[in-house]
Amino acid sequence: MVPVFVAITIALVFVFFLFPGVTRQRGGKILAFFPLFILPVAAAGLGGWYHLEQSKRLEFCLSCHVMRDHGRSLYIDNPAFLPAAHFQNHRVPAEEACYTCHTDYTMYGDINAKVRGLRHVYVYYLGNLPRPADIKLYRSYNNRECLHCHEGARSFEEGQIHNADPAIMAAIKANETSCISSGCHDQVHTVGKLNELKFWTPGKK
Amino acid sequence: MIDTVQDGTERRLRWSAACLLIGLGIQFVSLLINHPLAFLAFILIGSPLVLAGAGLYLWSIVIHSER
Repeated sequence: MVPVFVAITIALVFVFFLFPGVTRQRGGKILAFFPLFILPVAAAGLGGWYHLEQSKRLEFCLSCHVMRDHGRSLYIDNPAFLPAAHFQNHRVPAEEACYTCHTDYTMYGDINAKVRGLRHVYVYYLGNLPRPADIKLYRSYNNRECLHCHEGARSFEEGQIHNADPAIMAAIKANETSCISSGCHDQVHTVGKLNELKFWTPGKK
Repeated sequence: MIDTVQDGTERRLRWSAACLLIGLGIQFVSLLINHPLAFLAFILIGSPLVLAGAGLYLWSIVIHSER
């Protein structure tokens, strides 16, 4: 829909490019304000929003070949692997799996994610590209991102281990005990060992 | 004199439309491709050209009305 809007705007601007004399009349001046100002500015705004939405998609993240193994890890046939279990069981939207877990659920989380993305593009094309297995998070994964969905959920709130000691739940919610790196849910992308693992093929039983 | 003013305004309008056409063209193509470079082309090339074209249009009508 947005590309169509931009295409219509282009067609209208083209009319004024070919016939700028239309603006000699008062009506023409008023008419020109829409295709030469309102519509292009609206097209740029809508286009920016459309791009941001598209950039949340799995194929956008995996379009850089260095991320292919991370994408492949979503198909590991083992429920102990956290990203694979979330992706395969649609605990996160499958078509936006990367973005759903790797954005910050804060006020400027989307913008921060995009700024990090710009840095990734810079490194990808102009910097020293790490091996897929050497790609690490900038800082340890924040429990806030897990709790965005799991907080309040029965499986989390009433989980045996989460409630084995009253201090555990408080420490998880305060991000003092990491969900991922404290030895509980520590099987994540594991891209260095993909050759040793079995993979799930969608549609194949 | 009026014709000269009109010609100047029309020339600026044509430049404005040209900037808009190039900028919108780049934006249109970038919207069809879901890739980080398409996003960058939109932000770094398409959008500045569109803003420049819209700004040039506003400037041309302000200059014209002052005369």
